[in-house]
Amino acid sequence: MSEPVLSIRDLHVSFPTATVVQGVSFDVMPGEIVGVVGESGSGKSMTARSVLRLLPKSARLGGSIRFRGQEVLDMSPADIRAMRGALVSMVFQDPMTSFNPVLRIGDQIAEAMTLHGQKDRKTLSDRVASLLASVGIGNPKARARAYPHEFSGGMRQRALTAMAVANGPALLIADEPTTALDVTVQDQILQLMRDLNATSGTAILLITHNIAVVASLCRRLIVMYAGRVVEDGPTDEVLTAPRHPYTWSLLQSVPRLDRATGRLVAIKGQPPDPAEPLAGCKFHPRCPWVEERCTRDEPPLEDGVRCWVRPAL
Amino acid sequence: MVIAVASRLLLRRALLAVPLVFAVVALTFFFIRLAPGDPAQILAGDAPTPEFLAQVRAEYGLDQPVWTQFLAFLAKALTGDFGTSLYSKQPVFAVILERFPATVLMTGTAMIVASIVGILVGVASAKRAGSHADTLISSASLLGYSMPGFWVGQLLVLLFSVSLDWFPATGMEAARASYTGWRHIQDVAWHMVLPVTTLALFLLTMIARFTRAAMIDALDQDYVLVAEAKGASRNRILWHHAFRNACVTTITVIGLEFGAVLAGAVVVEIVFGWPGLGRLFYDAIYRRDFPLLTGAFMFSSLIVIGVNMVSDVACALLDPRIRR
Ligand SMILES: Nc1ncnc2c1ncn2[C@@H]1O[C@H](COP(=O)(O)OP(=O)(O)O)[C@@H](O)[C@H]1O
Ligand SMILES: [Mg+2]
Repeated sequence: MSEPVLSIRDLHVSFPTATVVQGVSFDVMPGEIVGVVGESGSGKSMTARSVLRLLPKSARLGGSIRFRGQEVLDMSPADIRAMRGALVSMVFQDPMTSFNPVLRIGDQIAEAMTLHGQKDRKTLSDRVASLLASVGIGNPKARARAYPHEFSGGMRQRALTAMAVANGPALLIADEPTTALDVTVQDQILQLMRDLNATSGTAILLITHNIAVVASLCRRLIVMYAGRVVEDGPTDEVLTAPRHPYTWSLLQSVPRLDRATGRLVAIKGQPPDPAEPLAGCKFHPRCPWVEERCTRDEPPLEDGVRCWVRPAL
Repeated sequence: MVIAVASRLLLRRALLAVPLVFAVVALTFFFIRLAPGDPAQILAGDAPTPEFLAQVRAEYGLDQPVWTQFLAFLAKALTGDFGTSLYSKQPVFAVILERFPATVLMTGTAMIVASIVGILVGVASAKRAGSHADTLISSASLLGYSMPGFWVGQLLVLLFSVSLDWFPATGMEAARASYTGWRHIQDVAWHMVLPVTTLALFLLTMIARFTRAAMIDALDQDYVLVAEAKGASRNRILWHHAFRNACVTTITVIGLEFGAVLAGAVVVEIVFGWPGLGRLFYDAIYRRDFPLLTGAFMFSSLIVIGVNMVSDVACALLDPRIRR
């Protein structure tokens, strides 16, 4: 088996007030699409941004992140910049605010390439046009001269994706790329990611709180809760036979057509406040299967599940 | 492309400015006539006979109703004739033009210095927002902002001219030596140091404060994170991404404060004996030289309107969202 493109071990992210990512470990193999799901606040974005060392100033990072075997946390600022946008790139949640409003779309896409050594103007403008065309934006030469406010949300997210893949990265991290979009546009973006993965073999780490998105795209699924990985496994297994009570509750809360009730069951209770210490499993206050030791000791992630009880679900 | 857009925007704003200019002219004219003091009295000198006073009034049209005077003034103004100075008997326009270069030199230099230093200070403190250096800069700029210009001017004169004798305290050039060429330029520059510093200080602190706030806001935007994720360096993010957005605020502040700078120039010119429009203005008020006062008021208002137009257009060119 080949070497993972991304290998995260025991990742910790802490702010002065709280530790928001604790002991996260997982691998992404070349060409793989891995989904990360979890409620908002569970540390998905902080995990993703750690890979490019793009955390807020007050954040402290611990553990290990290896990209193609090289330790990201030990890289010099220049090495990090050389990696950002070239080998590993990122698409963010809000397409409305991700483009600089006073610069042309085409110039911003071209910048992704000039920053990594491509200076020839003709090559750049051709490449920008072909990138825009590849994400389904018609009349790309003219559209490249447009400003962000002249693009719709869906077009901006497509242009952002084009910008992210401009240098043919080995890994694309997409942090809730479709959350701010309506359903039809969501599908277009997901199709775009699927094509990208199929044609250029780019590995994708897809972060979302929408299980339906994951189901259609990812072969592997990582479930995060309160800054920890609670379940990690092949998507179809996790979705059809969840092994962690939190994953199970999450699936219960998704409306499904094949369910008789068709009702949305919200998970009762709130995720723990990272600033408040909580002993034992972080899910125990909300868990229907809670036992005594769950309130005392935190279970380890073993065999892809972080649970003492492992009820038959 | 840019030139076409700029001239279109400028034309539209110029058309919008026409009623404004008219209002300024009318207000100036009537307000000055409302001010106390009878120009005929001043023109006629000490203890004139009533007949002579009436003759002076008739000669300058001062016996007509204010409305008639205004229409006559307007009709002449449209042909470029703004009347004659009561004091020097020279055409108002010529008197103003003669003094204009000195004011442009000082105000323009002060604006350029204030913009460059203000932007550098604002960006530098936004980069270190919350640090000790930032707090120090903010306090210093609050101080600079709250000190009146005439007082700063006097302090600078006392320190750098009277005590240290580094820079001359008044005038635009050394009175006795008549320098030419490069030496002359040096001499004028030397005389400009204190008045320009005094005048620039207020604008500089305004620019620094607003630029800092706009930069902090810009640096917090998602597009900055996106630029970082593309591999942009700190400096590129600061200037190419954040400042390109923040400078719209900076330019707006410069445009809006230009009127205050020009008003400040009057004070500074008097404190430093600078032979510009401000000095002329002051003397015209003192001598109740109404035509000259009207002309000078109008002229400076037009300049303020013009500068605001240019800053509006510059903002629109820099931020495509404001372009219409
Ligand atoms: N700058 C910050 N300072 C302190 N806490 C933060 C900061 N940014 C994010 N957090 C906290 O980190 C936690 C994880 O956030 P995030 O990774 O964005 O969650 P997700 O992407 O899963 O919704 C949240 O509880 C959030 O409040
Ligand atoms: Mg998030």
